[in-house]
Amino acid sequence: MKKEVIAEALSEVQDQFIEEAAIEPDAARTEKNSYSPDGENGSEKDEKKDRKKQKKPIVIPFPSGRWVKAGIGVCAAIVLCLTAAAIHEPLKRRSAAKTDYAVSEDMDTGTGGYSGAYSMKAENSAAFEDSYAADMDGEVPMMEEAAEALYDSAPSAAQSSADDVSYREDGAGSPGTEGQTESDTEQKLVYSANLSLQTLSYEETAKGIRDLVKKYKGIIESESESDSNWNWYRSSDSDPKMTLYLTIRIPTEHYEDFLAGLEGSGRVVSRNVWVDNITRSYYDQKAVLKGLELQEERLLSMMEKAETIEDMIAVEARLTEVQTQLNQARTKLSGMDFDVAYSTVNLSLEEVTRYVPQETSSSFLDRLKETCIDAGYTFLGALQSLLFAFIYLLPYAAALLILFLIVRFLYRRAKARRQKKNQ
Amino acid sequence: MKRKDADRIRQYESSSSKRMFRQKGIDMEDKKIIDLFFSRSEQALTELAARYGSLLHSVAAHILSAAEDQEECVNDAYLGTWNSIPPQRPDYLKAYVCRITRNCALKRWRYNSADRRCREFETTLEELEEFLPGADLEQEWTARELGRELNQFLSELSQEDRSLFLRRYWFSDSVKEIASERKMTENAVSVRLLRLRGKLKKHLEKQGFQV
Repeated sequence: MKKEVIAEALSEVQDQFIEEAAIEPDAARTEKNSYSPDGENGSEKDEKKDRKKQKKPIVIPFPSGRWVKAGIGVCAAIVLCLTAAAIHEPLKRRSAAKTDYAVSEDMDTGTGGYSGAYSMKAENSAAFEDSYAADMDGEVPMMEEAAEALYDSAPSAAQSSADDVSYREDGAGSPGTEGQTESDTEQKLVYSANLSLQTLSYEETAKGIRDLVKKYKGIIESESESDSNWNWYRSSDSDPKMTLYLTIRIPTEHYEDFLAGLEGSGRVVSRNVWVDNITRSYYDQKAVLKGLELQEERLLSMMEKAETIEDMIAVEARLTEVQTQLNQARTKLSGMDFDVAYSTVNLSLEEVTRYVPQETSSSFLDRLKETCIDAGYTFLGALQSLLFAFIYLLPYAAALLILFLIVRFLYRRAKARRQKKNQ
Repeated sequence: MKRKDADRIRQYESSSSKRMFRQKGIDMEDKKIIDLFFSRSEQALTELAARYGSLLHSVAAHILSAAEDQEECVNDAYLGTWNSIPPQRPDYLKAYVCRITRNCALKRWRYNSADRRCREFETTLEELEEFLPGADLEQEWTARELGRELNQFLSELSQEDRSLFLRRYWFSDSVKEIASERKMTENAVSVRLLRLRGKLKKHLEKQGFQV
């Protein structure tokens, strides 16, 4: 009874509501005959007119499925990221070319100066070069040859000043300024520099540096290279990829030219130059050497005069000690000579994908402009990283999608079976 | 073709725009058919069958399962329309003939045994039975009052919801048919119908019907 009541209540629904909701089934749509008051069919022309009026709506063949739309969205995102990456690279290279050119210009006008001690070197360079040329016959040796040459020249140098060094018989042998003659007043300066460079083209710059070392007859004392390209995702474009650390010994007379050449090959990030004046310790060492040599001579003459075996043994023991100290002194002195002859440059070269802009002006507009450019690069870099992340995750997403489709298919099949069973 | 026309045609598939599109053409056609009825021309029935025959068959099919019952019901509907127009001149011809067909189908449904009744129609009534008040006092009075409240409830709904409610409970379309027509999932249609029944229940409780 209750269902009948409900059915009757539904019959009371207003016509306009039913009119709104009523839709003719698709299969039953047929062409309507034209209307004429006398009941006869209209002419063919009228039929054609009616057909034109009632012609089927144009269905634009645009896919309306949700998955198709999602796929189109994904493809559009990939195209956008690829475009961003394509734009990114040329922009970086153009910016790098400008920056390198600017750095070179600075170097040409001499605005990249060194720290204070360099002026001292400039003053003494003429005198130094003369004395150095006299010692080394005007040639620049390689590392081992240089060490041997300096070592060989050490005794002659010691001999030339032997007469000028006062030697105390008690063996104290304290070198001091009273032992120095007029020829020993030349300064002994050791030049060193720490330099950090960045470059966009690592291979070219590294090759250029090695060629420069060869050109100035320098030596690469140590070399270390590292590659961080394994990290496919870098947080910013200024993170280094390839890094090269070099310890270079360069002949002191070519030191400044070599530094200028280095700074022109990349962008200087940091520069630290200093000079160690080892004159006092050098001549102290020289005096010690002379004293030990005199001791050795005396002991050798005493050995010849020794009559008893006990005396000979005592002299021999002391002679051995003196000779050991003598060798140490000679090694130390030749090391100092090498340091003076060959300046040290500690170089680190980093490869970057983009130079970090330096704040060269405090003007607000300039800073605003640089901030906007930097934001643009960062955005493009982020899009690039997004694309790589998407490609990286694509296989996993595909696998999950397949799994999801299988589960959905099984669920719908089970549901359909259940519904059939209920009916 | 102008872009405006192309846009309108592109929206033809959606039900709301289809109704809007129809308004302009159907009124004239219905008027012509009603004029034929008034002039007692048999062409009226031919035109009516050609225009709304499939719809009337589907209304009958959703209530009666047997094909001969459906055919008889539709023929009874044509006869009932012929007999009632004139004197009546309905504003909405389609709703009018659908109502006649439905009433004929309901009459048969009452006297049919269970195997000749359409399962879907039974299901729709059962769905509403949970939410509508039980038979009380005079059956005729309750159905009329309930019908009035139902109209009030339907007038407060959006066009979309109203159409959905009537397609399910007046036309007795299955959930699958409604989902495919409206490009929705069956689950979405079921959930919306459940919410509409809940709203109906609240509306009736507010009006004092004991649920």
